[in-house]
Amino acid sequence: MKTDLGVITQNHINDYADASGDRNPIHLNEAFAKSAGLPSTIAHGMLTMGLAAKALEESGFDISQLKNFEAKFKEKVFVNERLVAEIDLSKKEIRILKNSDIVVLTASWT
Amino acid sequence: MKLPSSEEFPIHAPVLEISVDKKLCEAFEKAFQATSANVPPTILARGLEGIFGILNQLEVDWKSLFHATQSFEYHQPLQKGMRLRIECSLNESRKRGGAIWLPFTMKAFQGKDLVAEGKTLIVVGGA
Repeated sequence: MKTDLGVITQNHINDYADASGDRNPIHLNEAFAKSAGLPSTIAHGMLTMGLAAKALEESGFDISQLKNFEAKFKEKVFVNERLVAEIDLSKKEIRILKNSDIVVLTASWT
Repeated sequence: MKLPSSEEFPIHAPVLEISVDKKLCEAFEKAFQATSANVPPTILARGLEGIFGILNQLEVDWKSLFHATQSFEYHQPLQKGMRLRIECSLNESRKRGGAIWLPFTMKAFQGKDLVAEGKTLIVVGGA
């Protein structure tokens, strides 16, 4: 099952910073991100994990019944990249990909 | 970075109180562009604020920091109206391939009940 999570904009990242309290400038300040050698700011790993949970709920799973939810953050998500979630309900695994082919997150749940 | 000696562990963050209220849920839903009757399960990320304090205490270079893994274990469903007490700790540090691995634990209590636990691996430096 595939779900288009849309393009991650700086507004999304700013909203997540407001919600989570994680204001690391690498997520919010382009100049800081570039000084770290990055082409742009990056999304919080936890933003992508939250999007994985959203995709799981949209697949029909009752997320209030989660017992375990774990994620590995594989690659950075730069601003304006498009994300897609792939869910395997039988294996209870989620992958989030950017630009259709680069895995940025793998997750599993029980 | 100020790497603690083994005697300095565990390092505890100040206890954090989180109200799982409508405002907080809506803030996360806005970021996820979602609407749901359920509490977002990763709302516990708000509790990771304790980790930031420890990282600042260790004087990590935020430019070389990577959130490698995150897991949550839910002992009961998260519900709106919960008032959670969050305890975060760093129990050790490990050197691996030029990087420093910092495994944090988080426990979320409502009263005496352990509602959820989290494990966070932060990697500093390396490739």
